[in-house]
Amino acid sequence: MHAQRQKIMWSPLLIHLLFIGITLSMLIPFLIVVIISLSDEQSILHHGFRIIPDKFTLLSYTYFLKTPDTILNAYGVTITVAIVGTLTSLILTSTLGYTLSRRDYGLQRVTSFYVFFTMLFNGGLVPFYILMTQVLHLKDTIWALIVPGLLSPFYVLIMKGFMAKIPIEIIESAKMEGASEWRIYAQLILPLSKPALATLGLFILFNFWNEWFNALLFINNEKLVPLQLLLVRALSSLDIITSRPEFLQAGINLDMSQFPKTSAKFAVVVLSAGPMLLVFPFFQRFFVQGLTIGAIKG
Amino acid sequence: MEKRSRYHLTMVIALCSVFAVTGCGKTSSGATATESPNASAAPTDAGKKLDPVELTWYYPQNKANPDLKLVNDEVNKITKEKINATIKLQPVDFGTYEQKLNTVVAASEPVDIIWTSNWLFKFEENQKKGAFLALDDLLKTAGADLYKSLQKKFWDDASIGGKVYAVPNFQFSASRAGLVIQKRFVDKYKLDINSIKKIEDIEPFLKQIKEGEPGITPFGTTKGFYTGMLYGIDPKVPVYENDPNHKVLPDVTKEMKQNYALAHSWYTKGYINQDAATLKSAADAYNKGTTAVWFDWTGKPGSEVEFKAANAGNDVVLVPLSKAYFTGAASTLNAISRTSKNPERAMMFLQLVNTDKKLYNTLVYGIEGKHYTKTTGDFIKINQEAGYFTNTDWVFGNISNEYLPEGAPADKIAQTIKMNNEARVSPYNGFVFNSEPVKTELANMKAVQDEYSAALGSGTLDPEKNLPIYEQKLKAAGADKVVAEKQKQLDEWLKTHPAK
Repeated sequence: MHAQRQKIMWSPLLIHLLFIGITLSMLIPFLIVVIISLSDEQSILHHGFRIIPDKFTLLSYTYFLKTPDTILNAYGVTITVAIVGTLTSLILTSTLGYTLSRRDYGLQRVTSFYVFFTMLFNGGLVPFYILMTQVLHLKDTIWALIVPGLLSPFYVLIMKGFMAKIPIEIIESAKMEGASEWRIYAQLILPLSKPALATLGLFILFNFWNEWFNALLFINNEKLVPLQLLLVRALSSLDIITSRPEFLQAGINLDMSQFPKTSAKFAVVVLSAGPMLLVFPFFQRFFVQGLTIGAIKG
Repeated sequence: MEKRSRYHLTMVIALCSVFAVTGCGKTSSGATATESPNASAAPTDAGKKLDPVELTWYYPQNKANPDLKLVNDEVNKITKEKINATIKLQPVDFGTYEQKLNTVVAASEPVDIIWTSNWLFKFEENQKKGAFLALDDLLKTAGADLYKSLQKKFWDDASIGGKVYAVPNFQFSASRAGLVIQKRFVDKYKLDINSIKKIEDIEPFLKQIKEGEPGITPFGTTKGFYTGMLYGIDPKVPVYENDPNHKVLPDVTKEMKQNYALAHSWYTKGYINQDAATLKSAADAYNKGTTAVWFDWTGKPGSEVEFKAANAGNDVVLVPLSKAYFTGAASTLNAISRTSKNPERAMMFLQLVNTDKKLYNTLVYGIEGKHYTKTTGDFIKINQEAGYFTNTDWVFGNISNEYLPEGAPADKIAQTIKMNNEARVSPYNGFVFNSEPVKTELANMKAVQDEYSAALGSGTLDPEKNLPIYEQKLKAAGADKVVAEKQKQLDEWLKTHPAK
């Protein structure tokens, strides 16, 4: 009896330990990032990165949050772009993916090739810029942040792959009942594709959330600057300010030794990644589901 | 069949409706983006009434200013009155300026004025791409006063192939290598700064600091302190001053050996900070306020105040070690874009920026009474938190028009002008080395230099042992070929430009 109990105790314990180890190896680096962003610059200089710093300070956050209007505005832009972009993008991706998945669609091969082709070849930066500014006239509008990210051929192909596994019989039976194509798409296909929509939705959301390059190219209006660009800028100007003393004008008594150069970088990570970390768990449930459904059908 | 076509139709409608939604942006953006009036060529004779135009101006900034729009409106009031033009200011932060402007230029976006320099969004490179307009004719008409306001040597720096392609922003354009010493130690050890003529002369003082001031680094540096300026080598082309043969020197000169040996002896004696070879910038060495002496390459008038701000508020003394060399005006220029629809008006605007004190100071400091207040004379008190603070007077135009912030030396501008005038102008001014034929060699040499120069220059490595290896590696990378190429191009150039 005793021996048996011990036998049962050991393996879960090992597995638990293994997973605790893996979890810690992922959590601790992030914890360190948070802590360094709160550390005093001097203690980083003297002792390097530590889990428990000598001195806590909020200086690096005050550097970024000095002008809360700007950063709140940037959060607003990013959130708007992420929500509008993700929803629109999901509509486009799922409609196109669904169309491609229908074997009774006559131009399926041509359309698939068209989508696939754009994955391999693109026009390059300058034609893209010209298209956006001189053909679509999207410069300095919020659409410049949304439109370029709307349709990714790769996601369309994933979506197609998922939808192709939905038995055609379901669609046919719905047709027999007299359902229109729209109704089939909206009431049958979309609910059945929930895992795919959630998974791709999360990816798309991340893409929109992290986007800064399009903003760099197309946005001059300060009101439309998204969070990531704001932080990229703050970091690059931080580098310039600290490396070129001539930028510091006479009369400013800024003590450079107290300047939170290192911790500010980590504060950027926390500020930009934080909201996404909160969103992630809500999607995770669909992740798991998505995988199992794939497995059953596999 | 009918069903199928209905299916297609609905899909088309669905896609169209999505694009219609996204298309909304078009109408709202059209209003702002394409507003610049496509006025036909501006009238040339001054007497005729000028048509209103809008100009755009790209220039770099440290950070976005919340009050930019207010300042822009204020600027427009002035320009509207004087040249009947409005200007759309388009500041881009330094970190992304190059990337953004490359795209803007490559896409031939209509822009009027573009800030350029020899270090960010490079002037020569972009002129070769055809980004800028030649200004010679405009400088005779619309910019005649502007042309007169600067000496020829400034315009030479903004010229390529005999044509002027940009308007230099007058600022401190000389360089004078020297030492920066914290004043508290000068006073304490009664250092006679007039006795320091060569870099070696500071050594006894470093010894005193080392012995008397624990916790203080006697000499802070990053990549060392070798510069041809200290040893009478022309900074433009590595040739001894007044060398009648114009012989281009190799990368490792005998002065460099001497300098590296000195650095190494200081390093071994513990005068130089231990992390010298790996620090990213000199500021890292001194801005903790714990460095007694460091090397300064520019010797800019008024930089004592800047150094004080950057080194924990300690007063410093500047000790020049070399004479001043004219370094050229190419470090900040404003060019007129090839895509400008109104180049003539852009030139008028540039002239105005460089000659109109009110306009210039509005761009630099913002609105009087809101962003700064006048104190006495030309001195002002800047309100940094008020929403407009540029800190980059040299981006906009001629700094001799500027108000002085409190604390700056009263004769800062006079000194700047004086040093610019007195600085030794290289006889090779105007010579531009075309690196194309030796591109590979230069890239290889850069790799070797990156590996060795900081460690040797800061004294971390023993030059006795490592300089020969360094020289050997440079040779293997093709250093001789580069020198020969330089010599060849210089000789060629000298045929048409006899050096004075």
